[in-house]
Amino acid sequence: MILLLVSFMILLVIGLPIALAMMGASALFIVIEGIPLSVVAQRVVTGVQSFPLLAIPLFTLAGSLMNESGISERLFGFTRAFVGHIRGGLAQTAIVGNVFLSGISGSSVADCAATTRVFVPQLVKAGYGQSFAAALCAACATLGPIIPPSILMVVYAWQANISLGDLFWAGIIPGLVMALGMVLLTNLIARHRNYPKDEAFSGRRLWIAFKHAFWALMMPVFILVGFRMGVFTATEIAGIAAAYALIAGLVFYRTLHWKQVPQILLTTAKETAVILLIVAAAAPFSWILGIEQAPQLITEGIKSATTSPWMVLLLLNVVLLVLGCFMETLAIMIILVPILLPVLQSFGIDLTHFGIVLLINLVIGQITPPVGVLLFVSGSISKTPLGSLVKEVWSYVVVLIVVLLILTYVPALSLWLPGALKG
Amino acid sequence: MDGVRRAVVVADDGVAAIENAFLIAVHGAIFVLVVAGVFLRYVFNDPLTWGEEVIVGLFTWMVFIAAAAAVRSHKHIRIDVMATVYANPKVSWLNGLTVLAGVAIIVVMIYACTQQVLQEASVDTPMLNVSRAWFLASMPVGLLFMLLHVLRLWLDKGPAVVFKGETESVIEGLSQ
Repeated sequence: MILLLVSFMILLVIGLPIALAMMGASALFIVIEGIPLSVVAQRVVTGVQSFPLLAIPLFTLAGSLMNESGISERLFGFTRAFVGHIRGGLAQTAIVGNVFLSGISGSSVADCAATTRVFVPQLVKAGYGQSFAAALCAACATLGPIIPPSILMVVYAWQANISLGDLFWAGIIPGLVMALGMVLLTNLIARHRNYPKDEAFSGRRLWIAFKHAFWALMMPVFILVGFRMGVFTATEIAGIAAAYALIAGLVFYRTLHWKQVPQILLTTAKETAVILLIVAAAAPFSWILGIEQAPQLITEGIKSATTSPWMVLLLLNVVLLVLGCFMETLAIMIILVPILLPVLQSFGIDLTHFGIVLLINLVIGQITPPVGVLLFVSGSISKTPLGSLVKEVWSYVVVLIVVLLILTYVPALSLWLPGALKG
Repeated sequence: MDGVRRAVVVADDGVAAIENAFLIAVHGAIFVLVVAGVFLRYVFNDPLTWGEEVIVGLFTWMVFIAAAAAVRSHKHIRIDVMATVYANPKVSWLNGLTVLAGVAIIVVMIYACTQQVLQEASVDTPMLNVSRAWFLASMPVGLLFMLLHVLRLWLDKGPAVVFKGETESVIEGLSQ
């Protein structure tokens, strides 16, 4: 097992893509152990031959079709009419707008890049500090994977063999609590620094903005209702969501043209293949960890240290936060979840609840100084020095850690909604 | 050397064009089949019995061909925090080592996948009754295309660019 992990880390550090590093480490282990190499190939290919995983390209396609239809502007227009009148209104628009946009692009890096490109120039022009604007955009991008639909949730639900519908519903309240925390902090900062308000609230402007954004706002509702009905599979819902997005763009908004569709299909195929190749490459990797009894060793180790599920969750929070600073979110999830599942089950921790805790940990890691990837993206695009960006983002990290602890120790915030909907 | 380079460039451009057309067609077909399956199952109560098998087969092909195409588009994910290290000219030898390791892994995996295809050539799928090799062949073919893209990037732009990650390309693309 040590050979597998060390070779994997070396291949990662020298700059190989995660999927190739996993395949290389697995192949090396298999060769040294005298197992036929075709086992790696068999595991990799079966790792991706799964109907539920088809939800990933189809949800991503739905998101891309909506984005190409110009829904970002409509959603930001709606949220600006909704919250723009309060102190620091434009900054609040970025946060609330990200609640609606969420991460269906399949990449928080791409979400962060898009938000930074749109908002930083506007915020700076309106009198906000550049470092604050860049830090805010990085912090907002953490909402994507928590609020459904979320590609990371599809992968986790598949790994943990739990209901994706339950996980989607479970993400709503935590996502809103995270957004509320950021809104309150932004309000405090805005008052302290006297950041401007937008125009005064107008019911008429809100109604017009709502009508403009209506079909885009209905897509998550449509997806969640599809899960609530309990008739359709996740892949079917993703397919219908993509069809809905196509019709919304072509017929309702008329901002999408047939000529754009082939390029969207091509781009989303590549974006999701990158995710799915990691999922596939993780199959032999996890299999080796399994035959080396890594999950059992870790379970026994943790049980010898504590018998309290709350302590286990605290320990996992610390480990995940640290790992999240250095490694890509999806890679951590794919490597750790199969190892952690027996631990969680032996301590009676609900897997849906843990899914939410895991995702929040990982997204916080993406904005944690000094090496959070979203800071890197936001800072580079907005040409903001990392040092000043770090100074501004700390307060958001602290708020999100407080939210994480609340959500970790109050499972009802995650589990109440899916439970209530089941009756 | 120039002849080899030209041959690699021509082959790579040809493969890239085929990949793009293939991915658009396959992704479109998956979308249509999933939506059609929903309508046939829930509206007409007449599900496509072979549908899931075909969709999963197409999906497997899409993943491995798109993974190869993603090398050309620099969409693969690697450790972002090391990006500044890889860009440093003082450690250019590291990029060369990385490409060699990547090529070695791809070649080993092509061999392993070919073995797997040959082993399963006589095994049929349950619904369509076609050889499983048709689905499994996606992996060696995809990896072969990936190898070609890696070699082209190496020859054309040097080792530092070959495995450039998604974050680096997103930043560069939007900063320009």
